[in-house]
Amino acid sequence: MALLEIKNLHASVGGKEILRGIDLTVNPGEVHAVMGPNGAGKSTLSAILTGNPQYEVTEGQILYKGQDLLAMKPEQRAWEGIFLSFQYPVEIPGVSMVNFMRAAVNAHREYRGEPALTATEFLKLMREKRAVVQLDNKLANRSVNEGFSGGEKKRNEIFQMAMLEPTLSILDETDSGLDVDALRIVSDGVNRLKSAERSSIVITHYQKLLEYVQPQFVHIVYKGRIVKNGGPELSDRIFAEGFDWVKQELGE
Amino acid sequence: MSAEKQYIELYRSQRNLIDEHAAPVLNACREEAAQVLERVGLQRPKDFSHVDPEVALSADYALNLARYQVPTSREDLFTCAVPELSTQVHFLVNEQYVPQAEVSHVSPSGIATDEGVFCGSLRTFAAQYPDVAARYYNKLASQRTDTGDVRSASYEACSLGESALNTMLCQDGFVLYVPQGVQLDKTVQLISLLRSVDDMMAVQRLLIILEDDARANLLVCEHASKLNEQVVQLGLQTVEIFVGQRATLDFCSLEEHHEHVIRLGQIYVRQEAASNVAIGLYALTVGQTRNRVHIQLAAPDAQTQLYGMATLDAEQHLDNITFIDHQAPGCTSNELFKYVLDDKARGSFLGRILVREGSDKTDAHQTDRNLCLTPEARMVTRPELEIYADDVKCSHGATVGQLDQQALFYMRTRGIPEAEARLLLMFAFMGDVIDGIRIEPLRDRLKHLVEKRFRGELSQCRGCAVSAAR
Repeated sequence: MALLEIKNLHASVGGKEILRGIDLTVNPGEVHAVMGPNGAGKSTLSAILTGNPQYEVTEGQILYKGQDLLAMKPEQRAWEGIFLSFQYPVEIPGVSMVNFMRAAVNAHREYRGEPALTATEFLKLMREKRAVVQLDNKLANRSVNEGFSGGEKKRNEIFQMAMLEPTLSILDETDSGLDVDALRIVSDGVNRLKSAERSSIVITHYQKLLEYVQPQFVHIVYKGRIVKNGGPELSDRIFAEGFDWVKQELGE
Repeated sequence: MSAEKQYIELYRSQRNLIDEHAAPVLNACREEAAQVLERVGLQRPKDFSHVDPEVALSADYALNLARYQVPTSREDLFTCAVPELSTQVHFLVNEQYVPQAEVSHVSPSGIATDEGVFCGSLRTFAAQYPDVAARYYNKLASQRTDTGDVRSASYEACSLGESALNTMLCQDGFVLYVPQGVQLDKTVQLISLLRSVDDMMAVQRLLIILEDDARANLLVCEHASKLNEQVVQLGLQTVEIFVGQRATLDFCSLEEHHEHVIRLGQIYVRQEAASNVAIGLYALTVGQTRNRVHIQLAAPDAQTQLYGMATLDAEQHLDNITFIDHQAPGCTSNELFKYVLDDKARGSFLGRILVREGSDKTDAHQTDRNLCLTPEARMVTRPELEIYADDVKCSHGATVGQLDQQALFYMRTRGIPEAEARLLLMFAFMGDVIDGIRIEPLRDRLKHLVEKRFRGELSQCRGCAVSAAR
């Protein structure tokens, strides 16, 4: 069974239609890259998948593990294994990373019928996963994303991903604004989570991340639709020639 | 007949009974107070305050002028949610100080210590130490600051009338007197309980005196027993605080009242040179409460921290009307108020800072931030800075907003349930105002209480506090 099936998805924000019929199927273990010019609807797709209340689905269907994803609350989707690495991670002054992560991890455990972690177990887990993305301990003691640099925020996203071990991770331009070292750390973090059951959707403008995470499938989104599907050769051509040829093929 | 006239008449007809159960120092102030009340009345504040004293006082309250003992069980007294923070626990039931001997839990030993500290009944203090009592009692509450402007006069008249009513009827209350140079290590805890089976007004009076170089922490826990669903209790509380040179006082009030309690509080503070005062007004649950705080920084280099917090829901009302009066150079004041309003709660904050001519090097800051959780909740805030000195540093900021929707969504995508995410955000919002408490065990305790309050578990907590105290 497919992990994720998006069928004819139409969505709008503030009355403006952004997605105009997206079809996409992701099977367990697959890595998909989603590319496209700015404003094509890539981030809207990630917002819809995670249940952002600001976006409205006007038509279509999404099945996740065979269930109606659109009927689930954002937290339920998280418990079922969906994770979004935000393009712009949100700062939450006054909520410490530790409390934030503990609430998240224990909510997942409760959903699975497991007991909450003890303080010692939890801190041990934090320590292990922090090492994965080389996130400084002093960041873990601060408020969520507050005062973090751009790179630290992105690493913090991957740290959270490592903590929650999602089945479907969506990386929304996680590579933008990263220097080469940070990019490698982030990519390593993503690769470590790869398995036959876990899948990823990687939204990006850059070649480097795709070289690291090696998607099998590449999709081009333009004006709210997936206009081209292919393999790595598709992304290679985009990096070499840009999107103009795609637009031309569409008769624009 | 207006509310104040009724009380003035009551006073005139019951004067002997009132005097008999009080002390000469208290009795000596009554007539003048009655005249002030007659003149200024119980004025409705000409601003947006929600609690109208005239309406609040117009009900037919019983007054316990003959000082009948209110039957009080230990369970009542120990329903305080901050149990045993200190070994120095004192009790006020309505306006009456309950001698410690009557509460077997607390050692009855010396109210007045070897060092000359007095901690106990106002009536006793006024009778035993009439000279000291006369030097301080009613000196701030009856004072007119006369800044010469109309607006001040209108504010002042409002609190003046309420204080005058208090002085006219006051028979007992609580005194903390710390003589020169004495440092109290232990926090003094006063549990103030409103308790009656009928509609009742309690005329409470607190007098806190710290002489030069003294130090004390006082925590006042405000509670009300709900003996009867319908009974309305009115707490009319006047607090006078004198802080001598280089003396340090932490005064914290923790209010946990139910919906039928009306509280009209006036706190007057006078600070001498280089004194350091932290006032904290923490309202966990209220019925209708209006606090007026008037702080005079009367001599150079005094420091004040005035913090307030409110967690309101249902139809609770809370007004905080504050006035920080910089009368001398080099003083610092730091004011922070935070409200979270749920359901149809109403709140207001009116914060006035006056920097008088000659008060150079004043450092005065005021912040008021509020969260309205529902479209029906209402908050009104008005900062006012009046500056008549040149070399000063002053700031103010006021905001009313909602929970950050982006943060809420971000947390939910991590699997944190919406209710829990809201709670974390509300709790985070209160972080700085709680951290402002300088009495550490109280700070920790309050964090716990605020969290429980947001979870809606506070009433259960009161139950467990009873068993914890045994």
